Amino acid sequence: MNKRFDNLSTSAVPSDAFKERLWQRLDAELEAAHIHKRPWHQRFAVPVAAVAIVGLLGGSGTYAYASPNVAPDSSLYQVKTSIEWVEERFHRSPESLATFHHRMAERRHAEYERLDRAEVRDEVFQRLQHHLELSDEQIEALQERPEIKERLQERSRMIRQRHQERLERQEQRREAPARVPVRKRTQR
Amino acid sequence: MHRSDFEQLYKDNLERVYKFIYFRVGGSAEIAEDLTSEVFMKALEHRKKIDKERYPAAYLMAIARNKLKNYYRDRKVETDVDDIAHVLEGDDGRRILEKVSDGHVLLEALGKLDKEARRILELKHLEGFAFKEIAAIIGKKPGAVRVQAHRAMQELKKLYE
Repeated sequence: MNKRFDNLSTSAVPSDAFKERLWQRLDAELEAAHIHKRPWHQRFAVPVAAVAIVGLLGGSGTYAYASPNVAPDSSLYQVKTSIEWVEERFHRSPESLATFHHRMAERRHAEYERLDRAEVRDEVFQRLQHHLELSDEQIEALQERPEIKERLQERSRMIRQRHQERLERQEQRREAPARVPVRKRTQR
Repeated sequence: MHRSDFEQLYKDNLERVYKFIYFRVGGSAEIAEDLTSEVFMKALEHRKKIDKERYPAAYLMAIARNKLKNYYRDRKVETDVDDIAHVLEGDDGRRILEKVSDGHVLLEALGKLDKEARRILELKHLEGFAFKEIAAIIGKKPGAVRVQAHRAMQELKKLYE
């Protein structure tokens, strides 16, 4: 009799695709509810910390954090990376961390654009690559959220492409013959 | 309720809820999937309440029962959820009994038992609940459920033969 029950029971098993689909939907709802219902001190931690740091450091802190002109050859660069380090601590979910590292990679790209010295550029380039790698790691952790994973992968691709184009332009400039500056004839 | 706890609840009970519904909607996988999804979405909404339940599965089955009632009410069918077990035809016109070889004999025999005895055997052998959980679902003591299940099984064997 037990075997007959087993046969009947196994005839009504939900498909794996359905199981996975439903769990993804539930997980997304759980994630949304978690973000929405985080305690106030967690929700406001980032803005409060940012205001506190900027307040402590004054105008130079704000400038260091916000300006792409503050690069590794600047004395304020340590302040900038320290603020970013603190900011990173407040991102917990893979999606949020991946977005944070994308933003940091874009900042490194902006710094790279403004730099002249090759050795400083190399350092910024290493940092940019590092942020993209960290972002990739977080994106990989999003196995159960294909739509978010796809969006973040697309952003990684765009950042890499933009930087690659920048490197190509730089290479072309280096290969092009140096132009002799034409001196304007002064009118008498 | 933490994500991991809800995930465990989902893993432990998805098939049970699905089977309970599947056999009551004429073996339509599509309808069973829709209603099962609704049950778990509702459970997610009430997860704080479920957290306090000693047997969360019992709470889930109560949601599933209500969902089925609403499903038939929307289709303007007046029925008792227990009465509709195993007798409805699927969307393809075949009775679910015909889909499993020899299953129809078992289901017909089950249908001849009284409602509670039938439900206990379904909970135990089709949906895979433990006696403690069955007791919580039907509101009886585990010892009484065990005795009732034994008697029901003896009666079913006689009917089957």
